[in-house]
Amino acid sequence: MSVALRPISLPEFSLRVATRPARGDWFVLVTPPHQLAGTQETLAADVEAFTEGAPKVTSLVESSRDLVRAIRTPTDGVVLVGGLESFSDVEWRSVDLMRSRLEGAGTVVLLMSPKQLNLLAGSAPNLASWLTGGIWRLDEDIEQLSEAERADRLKRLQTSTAMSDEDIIKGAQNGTLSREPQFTEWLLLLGRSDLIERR
Amino acid sequence: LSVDDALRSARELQDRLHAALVPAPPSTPKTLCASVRALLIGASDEGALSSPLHEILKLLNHTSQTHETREYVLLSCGESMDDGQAGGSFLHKPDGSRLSFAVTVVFDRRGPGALVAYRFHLQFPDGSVPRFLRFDLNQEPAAHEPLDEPRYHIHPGSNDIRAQIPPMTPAQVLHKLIYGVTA
Repeated sequence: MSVALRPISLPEFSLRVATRPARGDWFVLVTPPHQLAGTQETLAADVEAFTEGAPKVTSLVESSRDLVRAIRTPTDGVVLVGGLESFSDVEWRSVDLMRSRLEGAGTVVLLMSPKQLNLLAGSAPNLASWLTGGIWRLDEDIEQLSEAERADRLKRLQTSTAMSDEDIIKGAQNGTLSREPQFTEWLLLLGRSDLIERR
Repeated sequence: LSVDDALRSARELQDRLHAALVPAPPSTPKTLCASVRALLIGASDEGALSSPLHEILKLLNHTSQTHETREYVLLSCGESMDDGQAGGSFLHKPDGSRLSFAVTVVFDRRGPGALVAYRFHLQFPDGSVPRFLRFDLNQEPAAHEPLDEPRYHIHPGSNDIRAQIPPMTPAQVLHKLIYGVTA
């Protein structure tokens, strides 16, 4: 299985999960191991906010039977399963053999590290085929202003005020720049927060 | 009444408002973003914003820069200025108005954040009077007399008119502009 890891922000992932609360929808969110616990907590809260229903959360899964039990728990909402990091290829192979028992499950979200995803893909190819299209990589930087967006904001400020970046820097340096909020933003976008303090 | 009385009166008003109402600062950059995002999601769920939720999430961005021990965070949503230009990225309301905002907050390692500046601009549909409402927080120290330019002020459809408002948090301004103003 070729594992395509598309980047996604946590709010957008939560929204995708919440807007597809159909039976048989599977999602995987991949994060570095040290972010798993915090991501699970935030994801559960976000999904609850979007769906107005708390997801069924399982934080520790020690065996393939545990996983099947967690996923088959009757619920009309979302099943969120983390705590899969101790799984070996043996467990995943076992889950793959029991996959028929997972059919008809609700919306399932598996939270795991890249290492576990590779194990799953290699040892549970049938289960992995259900996940195609639903695998995402958490990218917290995706909500960061991109370089293009930063340039667009600066251009709009320049057009709106008929001033240049140099005008702003000079004004901040000699204390004549207005305190209006757009100029504070302008300095920050220029990477001159030192001048925000000097104004 | 003299000009001096008017200046003194405006200073007193601003000082008393600032002393009585200090907006609770966000504790971390994450909580700032999360609280604003939650407010916008709630407004979308209730139909107070007509922009699709995925567009709202896409519009909400942040960037930061650190100077010495202080991290300056800019949380923005929509265009950096709204001059009534055609097109552009904005939050939209069912009445046809559009909203954009930017908030700058500074966080120091030693304590919670502090509001530095903000701009919340609600542009009404063509033909509306006034054409816009803008809530601004100017960076301190104030360069002008509060009589002319209070630190927290509203522009009621004119860039040249600045009326004193109480110190308001970003959430309070958003509540007013999303739920409390209709074109």
